[in-house]
Amino acid sequence: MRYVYVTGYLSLAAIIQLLMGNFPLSFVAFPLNIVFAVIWLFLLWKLYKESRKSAFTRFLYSPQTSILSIFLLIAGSLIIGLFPQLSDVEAAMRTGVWALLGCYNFMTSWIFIAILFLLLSNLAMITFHAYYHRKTARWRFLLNHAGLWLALFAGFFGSSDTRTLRIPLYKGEPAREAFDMNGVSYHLDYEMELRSFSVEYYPNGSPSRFAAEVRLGDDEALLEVNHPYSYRLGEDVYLTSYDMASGNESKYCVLQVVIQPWKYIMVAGILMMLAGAVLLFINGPKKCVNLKKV
Amino acid sequence: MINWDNFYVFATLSVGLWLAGAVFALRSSTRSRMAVGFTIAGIMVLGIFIAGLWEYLQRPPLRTMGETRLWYSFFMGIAGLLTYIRWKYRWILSFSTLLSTVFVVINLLKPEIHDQSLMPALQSVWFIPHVTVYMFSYSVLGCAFIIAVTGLFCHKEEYLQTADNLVYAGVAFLSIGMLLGSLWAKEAWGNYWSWDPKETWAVITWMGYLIYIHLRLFGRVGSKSLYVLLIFSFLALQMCWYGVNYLPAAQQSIHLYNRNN
Repeated sequence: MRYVYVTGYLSLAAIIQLLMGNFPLSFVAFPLNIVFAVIWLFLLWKLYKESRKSAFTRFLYSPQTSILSIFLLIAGSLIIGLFPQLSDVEAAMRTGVWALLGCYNFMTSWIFIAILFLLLSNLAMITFHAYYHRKTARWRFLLNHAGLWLALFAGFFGSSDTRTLRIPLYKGEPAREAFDMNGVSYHLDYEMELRSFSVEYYPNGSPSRFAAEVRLGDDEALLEVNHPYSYRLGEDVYLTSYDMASGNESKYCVLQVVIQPWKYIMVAGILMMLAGAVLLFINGPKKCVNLKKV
Repeated sequence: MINWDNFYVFATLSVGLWLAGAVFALRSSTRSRMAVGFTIAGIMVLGIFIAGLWEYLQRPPLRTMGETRLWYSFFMGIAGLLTYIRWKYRWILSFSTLLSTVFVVINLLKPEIHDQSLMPALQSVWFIPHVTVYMFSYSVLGCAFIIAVTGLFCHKEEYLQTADNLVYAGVAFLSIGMLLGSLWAKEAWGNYWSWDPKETWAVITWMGYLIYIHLRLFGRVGSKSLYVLLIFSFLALQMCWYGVNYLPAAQQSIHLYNRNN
């Protein structure tokens, strides 16, 4: 029966995808994503507390659903791994069945989001269940599953609030106009200026290090690859490229501003999973053998 | 003076010591003191070389591919030894010795790599832990693959139990490698996860092994399916490791460090 429901659920997602195109991420930007998440979690919690015996609740927290949703996520990831993933503009120009199903930007396809939604609902349910009832390896279970939930949740819901902007910055020309990946321009509320730029080379001529001294609003910062500058909460500035042909004489460099207010929740999830992975190694499989009966 | 010119002396010595340790471990049903002693000696010999090279170069030897391979070998010895001491898997030292030796031999056979430059994107404190942890997990999961192939032809219940041990250890390191990678990606590119082809195949691999773990706990599937799953997961791992370099869909990958773009 489970397979019939899930097939129906995914077919519905596919029909919505065919009718409406990819999921409108910008629609669920803050605060709508928070509102939606709170309602969703509240409903799951109600279901778990008040109608645990119902077939739907049992479906949501059964291990078989976990296995099925991981399997579906593998299938979805295979599509992402085998089809070239394009920007929204490029993907819109593709034609054919695969393009209609959103395979060229599958991360925002309704089908993929439906799979993620199923997995996250299942993860939330089993986390509730483990919190109340689990006896063995409880911390390991909670860290791994709740950590994954937090990281995926923040990645998925947070993506509508995430902005990645690029700014070409010329020496002596302060700028505040940035562009997103689709070329739409944005005005930053602070000004940037390139003070100086330097490249160091290996004996074989390839660049070993490049750095830019910049002014960001009232802050002075040294930007390097792997060393972004944290301008304010949830907003980091990166040095991405420069005029490779001119090297030290480069007249400009390209900065990237990433505004990601949800990053702290993602880091919390990642750290929890790191701790969970360490426990997975230390305790190994033995303690879980008894769980077959649960 | 310790430098690359006399690396072969240290290399031969430490590989010899590790091999001796691995043989002692294989032949003993309990934890062998000799195995631990020989392995520690091998690690120390390589450690002395690294320290000497550091002194000679006047900088930490972490820059070139050849230098990072030294650390792989060094860490592999330590990781293998710790696993052996803690869990007494008698095969682990043979395996870590094999992997360390591969990296040592590459360094001996391809000296030109010592001068090769490390591009700025790879110059990060995350580089060594991310890669070595992944390398270790690849080696452990490679062992699970060998067991799966064996079990596919001649099933024994204890093969699946050994595979469980290997997969838990392998997945733990796979997760740590992936999570460290995501923290690094935020620092280098601005996002924890961007569904780059290498990342996509890494998560496919990871989830393949997760399904194995969950099927072993809750599933009612036969041993054949489990072995096949382990084999497929390992193939996905190969795809992630080097297969994406040849994948048409992945030519824009930001993880391709083998060419200049």
